[in-house]
Amino acid sequence: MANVAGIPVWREIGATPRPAPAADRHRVVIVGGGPVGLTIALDLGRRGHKVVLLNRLDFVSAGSKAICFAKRTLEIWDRLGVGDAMVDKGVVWNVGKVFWGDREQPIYQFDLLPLKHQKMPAFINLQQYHVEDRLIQAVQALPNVEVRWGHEVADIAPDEDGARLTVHSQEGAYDLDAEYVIACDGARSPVRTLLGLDFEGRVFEDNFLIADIRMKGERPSERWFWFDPPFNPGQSALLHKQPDDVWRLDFQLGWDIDREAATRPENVEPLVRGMLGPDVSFEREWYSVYTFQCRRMERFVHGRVIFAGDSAHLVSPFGARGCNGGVADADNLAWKLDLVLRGKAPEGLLESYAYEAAVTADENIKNSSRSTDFMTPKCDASRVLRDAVLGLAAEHPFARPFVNSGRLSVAVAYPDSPLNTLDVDDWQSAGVAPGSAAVDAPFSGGWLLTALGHGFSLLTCGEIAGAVDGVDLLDVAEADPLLHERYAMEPGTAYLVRPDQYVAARWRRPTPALVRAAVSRAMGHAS
Amino acid sequence: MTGLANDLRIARPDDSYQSLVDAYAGLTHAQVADFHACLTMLLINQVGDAGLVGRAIAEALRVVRSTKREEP
Repeated sequence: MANVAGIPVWREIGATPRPAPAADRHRVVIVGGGPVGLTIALDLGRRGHKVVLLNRLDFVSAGSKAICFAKRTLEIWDRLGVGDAMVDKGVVWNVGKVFWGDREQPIYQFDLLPLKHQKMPAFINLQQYHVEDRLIQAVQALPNVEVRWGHEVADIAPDEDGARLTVHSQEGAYDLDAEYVIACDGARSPVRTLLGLDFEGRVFEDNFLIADIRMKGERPSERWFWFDPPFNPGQSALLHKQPDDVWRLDFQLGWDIDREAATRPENVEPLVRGMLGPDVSFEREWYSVYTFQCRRMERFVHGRVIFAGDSAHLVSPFGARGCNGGVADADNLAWKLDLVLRGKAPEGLLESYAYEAAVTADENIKNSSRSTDFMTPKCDASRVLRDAVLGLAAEHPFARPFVNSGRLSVAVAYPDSPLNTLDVDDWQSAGVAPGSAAVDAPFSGGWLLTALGHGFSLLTCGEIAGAVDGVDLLDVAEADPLLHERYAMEPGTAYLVRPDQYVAARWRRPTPALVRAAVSRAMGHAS
Repeated sequence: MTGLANDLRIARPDDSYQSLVDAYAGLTHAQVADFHACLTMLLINQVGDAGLVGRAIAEALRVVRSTKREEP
């Protein structure tokens, strides 16, 4: 859609023709073709559903936007067949350096130890357009997923059976009926606005200049973070490596700024040279100002209209909790909607998405707000405390974990989810508790998470008497001792794992009746 | 109860008190704030118990809030 001003193009796709007017009725319509919408489309598509995805633009936009994808997200994409393609292209850093004030040397540096004995790394850095490209390829390989490029939702009329969408395409407007609408249409979600819904909660706003630059040379692949540097006094700054000689430079700008002026090259370049030295040679890739708030919608499920990703919740960029949090939504929603669409689970199962996705959003908002508060103390006393921590960190290793330049997104646990079956055995804090994401481990020459099916799985340690319909059995008795340790396995132990690879229940002495009851509960049947 | 020790746990309390008073000598008001923050971080790590630290924060806040104080 060439008439969308100001959005740079990474790859042209071209507008999809307007569909024939007859029978434009669909079970699932996804609005928004970013990483969240594409992940839901891929998951539902692989489960055999017909899905229509409407994307306002008819190109993949340039600008790297999200750049850090955490292990849990990579595991989700691996379940969907695109994990390796992401990891192959991404870059990993191990050394982080923290600078403070006008000190030329870092106050300390740290070496991230690689995650051992899990398939996926702790995170990769990768431009969002590379992520979208790989998801688009996977989605386009599915004949039952139809992506309509350059189709924009202009109106929505929800009713109890779904919603009627009015869609604008290059060839004119048309109506489309959907049983379920999944709004993954970003922070300024048109669907949310059209429904008169809004965010609530803490309003905290800040602006960051994002300067992606191309820079050749021998610079090491390290993450550098500055508190109160001379080139951006009173604010923070961040340097991050991306693939293809692209570097992400983040400069906190504060609230009261001229956003348009901030991205002019004559204003960006002094900051770049302040950070990297006066003689640095670089090319501009993408400059933009990112404004954020830490807020969420009160509810993510409104009848048959369901919100996921930035349309539902916003966080600060620190900890990479925006896009990773959105992909967690996709992962949580897809299997539930699959079961509801196939009539296997009651529609009430979607209520558990509203609950669990809100728990995830609250955890992400809490962590990213804390990072922001550390970087920008809200009062003199907290600045004194922050500076005390930074001052101690140089010589006192105990103080370094208090330094908060972002806490990387990890899988959020739902210990109180209504889908969990509570432990009846004493696990003494060992193993993986109900409501927590399954932990990967070596298994049978490969990996446990790869061996889990797409439905419910029962991990057993030895055979269990009697089968349970619709549950894949995976006997791990002969597995690597590491797996046994991670799951506190003993002969006879069993774990029930949900389709999104979260633990739903576990027993020292499972019976088919216990497993059946736990599956029923995890599918949202009243117990 | 506050869940904090209320009996004296340190020998020669006058000495520790005086060490603090001596430390303030020559510090500006702003430096005293820095000093207290630094000392707090060192001590909470020595305590090493998030529950205890939390109870101490709550108790200190209660005492400060219940003490009438004339602002200068």
